[in-house]
Amino acid sequence: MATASLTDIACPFCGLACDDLSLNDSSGTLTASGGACSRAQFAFQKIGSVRSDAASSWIEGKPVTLEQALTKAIELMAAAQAPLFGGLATDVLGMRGLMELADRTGAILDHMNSESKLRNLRTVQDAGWITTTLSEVRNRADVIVCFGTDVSSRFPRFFERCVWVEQPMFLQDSEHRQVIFIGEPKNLAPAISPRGQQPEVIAIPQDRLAEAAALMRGLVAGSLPFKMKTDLPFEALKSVAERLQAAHYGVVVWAAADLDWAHAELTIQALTAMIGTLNNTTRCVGMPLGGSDGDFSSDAVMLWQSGYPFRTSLASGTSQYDPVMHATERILAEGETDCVLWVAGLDPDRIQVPNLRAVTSHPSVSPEGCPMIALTSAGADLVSEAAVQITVATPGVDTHGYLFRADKVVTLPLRKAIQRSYPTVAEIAQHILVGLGDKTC
Amino acid sequence: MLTLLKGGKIVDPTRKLSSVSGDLFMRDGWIVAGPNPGERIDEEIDITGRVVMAGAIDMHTHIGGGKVNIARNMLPEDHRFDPVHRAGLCRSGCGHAAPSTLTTGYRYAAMGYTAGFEPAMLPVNARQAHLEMGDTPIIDKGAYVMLGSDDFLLRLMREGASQERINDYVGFTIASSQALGLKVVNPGGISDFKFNRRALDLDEAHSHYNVTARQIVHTLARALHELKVPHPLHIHASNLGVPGNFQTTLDTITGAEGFPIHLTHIQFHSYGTEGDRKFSSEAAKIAEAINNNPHVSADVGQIMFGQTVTCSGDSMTQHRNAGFGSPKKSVIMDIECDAGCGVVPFKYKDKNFVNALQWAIGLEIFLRVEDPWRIFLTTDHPNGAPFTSYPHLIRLLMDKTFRNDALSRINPDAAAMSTLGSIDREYTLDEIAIMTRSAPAKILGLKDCGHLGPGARADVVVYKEDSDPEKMFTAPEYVFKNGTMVAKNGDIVAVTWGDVHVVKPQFDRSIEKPLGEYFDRHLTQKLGNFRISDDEIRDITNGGGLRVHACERDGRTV
Repeated sequence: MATASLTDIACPFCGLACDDLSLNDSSGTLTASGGACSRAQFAFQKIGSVRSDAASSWIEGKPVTLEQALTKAIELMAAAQAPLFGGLATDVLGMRGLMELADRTGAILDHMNSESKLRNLRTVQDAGWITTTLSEVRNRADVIVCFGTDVSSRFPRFFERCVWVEQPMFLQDSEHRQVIFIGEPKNLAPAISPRGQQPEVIAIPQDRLAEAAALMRGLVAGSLPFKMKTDLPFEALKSVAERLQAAHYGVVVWAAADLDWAHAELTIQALTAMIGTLNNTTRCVGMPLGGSDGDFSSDAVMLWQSGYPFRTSLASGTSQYDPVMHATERILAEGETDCVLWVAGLDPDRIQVPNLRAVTSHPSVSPEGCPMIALTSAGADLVSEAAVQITVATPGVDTHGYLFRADKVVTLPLRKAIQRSYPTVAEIAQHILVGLGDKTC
Repeated sequence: MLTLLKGGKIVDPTRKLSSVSGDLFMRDGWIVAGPNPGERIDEEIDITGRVVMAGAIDMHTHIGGGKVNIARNMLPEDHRFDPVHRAGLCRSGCGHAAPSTLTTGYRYAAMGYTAGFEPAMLPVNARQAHLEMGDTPIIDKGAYVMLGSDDFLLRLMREGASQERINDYVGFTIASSQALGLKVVNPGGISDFKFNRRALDLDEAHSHYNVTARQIVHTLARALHELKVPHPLHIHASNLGVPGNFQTTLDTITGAEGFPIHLTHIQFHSYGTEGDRKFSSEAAKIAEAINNNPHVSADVGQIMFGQTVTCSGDSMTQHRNAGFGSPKKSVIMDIECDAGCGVVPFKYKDKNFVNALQWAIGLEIFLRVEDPWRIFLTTDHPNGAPFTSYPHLIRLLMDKTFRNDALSRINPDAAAMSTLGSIDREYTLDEIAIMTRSAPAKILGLKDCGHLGPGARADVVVYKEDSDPEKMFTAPEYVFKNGTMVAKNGDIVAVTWGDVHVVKPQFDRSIEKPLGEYFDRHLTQKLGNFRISDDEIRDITNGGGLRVHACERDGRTV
C-alpha cells in the first residue's frame, strides 16, 4: 500500500472533533499525528489496521459475504413488527439513511448515550439555558468551573485547545484564568497551566453534588439563610459563587455523562438557573460538553427530520416522542421489540451492545427471540448476540461524512482517509429499504 | 418532454402581464416560447380560466441552521398537535412553528411556494444550515450569511482596514459559506452582549472595538455594492422591539448613505412611545421613509395571533425579551467569536395591547408602502407566525371588510391607537404576485425565477380563482417545480429536491492568509474545514443542484 498523508483531518472519536490531525497511511498502518490525542491515535490505528481482505460480514458469528449478510438483514427486517434502531453512533449521512429506513419500517429510535443526553434535554425543555461554544471559552473565559467532571477523561484536549492557549483574544493571557473543579476529578494533569499553576479542587463526593449545585444557586441568588448548617465546604463554594459574580465571562463546564445519578437534570437545572441569575449583572455561560459517539450528529438529523429528539417512535406512521417509553433498556426489558438494528459505526471500542437476554426470554417474544443486526466499525469485536453483523465504513476513515461538535454549532467535514470497500451505514439502510420493496411493515 | 398549460390567465408582473389569457409551454424544466418546428406536445393540461403565476418565493424564512433545531429540541409541545403521517410519497414529520424539514418542503410546495431563503446563516454554522435545507424537499433554497458581530470584521474595522480589504473578507465569507446574500443582525450588538452590554444604539460605540452600528451597516452595504452582490445588505436593525425604535430605523436608512439596503421584519422596528402605555405605531413614518427612498426595501415580519417560537441571531435582544416568553423558557447562546442566537417561544394574543398593536403595525406598513416591488410578504417565519399563515395574511391585504372585522376583535385600546381602520387599500392580484414572485426574484438577483417568460425555470402555480383569497392561496390546483407537477389541490404528487442558489463574488484570495492565521490562533477549527465546497453542497442536497447567480448591480440610487 502506498504512503498517503492528509492534514487538517477532523477526528470523529469524541465531541471535540479536533480538526488539526494528520493522518498517514503507510503499509496498512494508519497513524494519526499532529494534535492527535492518544485515544484518537488508538482508534485510527485500530480501524485502519484491519486488512481489507479480512472477514467483514457475519451471520451468527460465521463469516459470510456482504451479499449474504444483507439478504439476511432484509429478511429479518421484513419479518419485524416492532423494530428498534439503537446505538446510532454514526454521522449525519449515516443517520439520514437510517431515518428513511425507520420511517418506512416504523422503528423506534434511541441512541446509546440517550440517558446522559436526557439530563441536559430535560433542563432545556423545562427552562432553557444560556450556553457558549468552544472558541468563546478559548478567548473569553476568565473563570472556568468544571462541575462533576475532570473534562479531560472524556474530552482529552479541552484544556489544550480551549484554555491554555497562547493568546486569548480578550484576556491578557491564559495564565490568569482561574480553573476550579468541583467534585472528585481523576485526571487533573491537563488542567495545570503551562507555567505550572495548579487548578483549584473543591472535593465533593458525587452523591453530594446535587446539594452543592443547589447551594451555589442559592448563594448567587442571595436566597440562603444567613447562617446555614451544612457539612459541604461552604466557604469554598461561596468563594466560587463570588468569583463567578466578579468574572467578566464565567464558564460552567459539565459533561452530562459524568453526572450519572437519578434526576441529575435537577443538578444541571440548578447550575443553569445560577447562570441565569449571574447574567442579570455579568456574563456567565454553560458549556455542556457532549457529542461523542455521534450523539449530537444523529440527534440533530432526528430533530430536523422528525421534529423530535431521540426516543422517538415512528411506529404509528408519525413521530411520537417519549423519553421514558422509548428507552432501549425498557423496550428490551418489556419485550416490546422483535428486531434490533444496532449501529456502532464510529469508535470500534464503543459498541455498547445492549442486553438482549431480557427480551429473548420475555413471554411475549417468540422462541426465535429478537434478532439483532449490528453495524460496526472495522476493528470492533465480533458481537456474539448478533444474528447479522456487517462492518461499515467509518466516516472520517473509510468514507467522508459530517460530524456535529460538542457545542452543537460547528459541523466538521470528515474525510475519507483510506480506500476500502466497506458499505456506509446509509448504503446499508438504502439497500434494506429497496430490499423491503412494497412490503408493508 | 414538452408540456402545454392551455388557456390560463397569466399574472406575470415581471413581463407586465395582468391576467392575460394565453398558453404556457414547459420543456425539460424550463419555460419555453413554444414548440420547435415539428415538435410534438407530449402533455396538454387545460387550465382555461385559471390564474397562473410563477412559483412564490419566500425571501425571509428560518428554515435551516441551529436556531430551528434548538427550537425543535426545546419545544416538543409545539409539534404534538400537528403530527404529519407518512402517506403516499411523503415521509412522516410534524408541523407548526418549528416544523420538520420534510414537512416544511411539502407544505411550502402545496401552498405554491417553490423557493425559500434562510436569512440568518451563521458562517460557523453554515454547514448545518445547508444540511437542513438539503433535507427540505421540493423547494429551492439559499441563505444570507451573517456578519457584523464577528470579531474578524470588528478587528478589521478597528484597525482601519481599507474598504477593499473588508470587501475581500465579505466576498470570502459569502463564497465559502455558499450564500446568496449577506445579513447584519443588531450590528455589533451580538458581540457587545458578550462584553456584558445590554443595548447598543446606532451611534453608540462598541465597548471593545469602538466602532458603531452605523459604521458597520455602511461598511457592509458598501461592500456588497462594490462586490456587485445583487441582494442589498439584509438588515435586522438595532433596537428590535424597543419602543421608540422607529427613529433608529429612520437613522439606519440615512446611515446607508444611498447604498441599497433591505430592512427586514420592519414591523418589529416601527414602534413609537406615544400613549399611556408608551408604545405606539410609527408605521406611517416608516412607510413614508420607504416611499421616499427608492434604494430601500423591506419585508414586514407580520405577526399573527397564536403560539409560535422566535429564533433569532440577536442574542442581546432575545435575552432581554426572554422574560416575555411563553412558555417561559429560552435558549441563549454566544457563538464562536462569530455570532450568537436566542430562541424564545412566544404566544401573540389578540387581546394583549402590545401584540394587537404589533399586528396592526405590520398591516399598516403593508398598506402604506406604495411600491409593491419594495415591500415583501413575510411573517419572518416562525418569529411572527408560521409560514402556513400566508394565505390568511393575503386575505387581510386583499379584503378590507375581512381586515376590519379582524380589527374589531383585537384589543380595543390597540385598535384605537392604529390608523388601520381608515385605510381603504386592497391589494390586487397583480400586487400579490409582485410581492411574492417578481419582486423577491428581482431583489435577490434570480433572473430565472419569479416570472413565466421563456428562459425561466418552470416553477408554475395554477390557482382556481376564488372570492376568498385565503382559500385560493391555501391549495393551488397545480404546482410545478422545474416542470414536474409536485402538488395538486394541496396534495404532494411528486417529491423532487430543489436547488441551492448562491453567488460567487470576486475577491482577492490573499485575504485567506490572515484569515488562516486568525483561525489557527483564535478559533477551534481550521479555515479549510470551515470552507464549504461546491462538491459538498452537491453531496448534501439529495440531488438538488447548485445555481450560481451573476454578481451584477445597477448603480447606486441616491
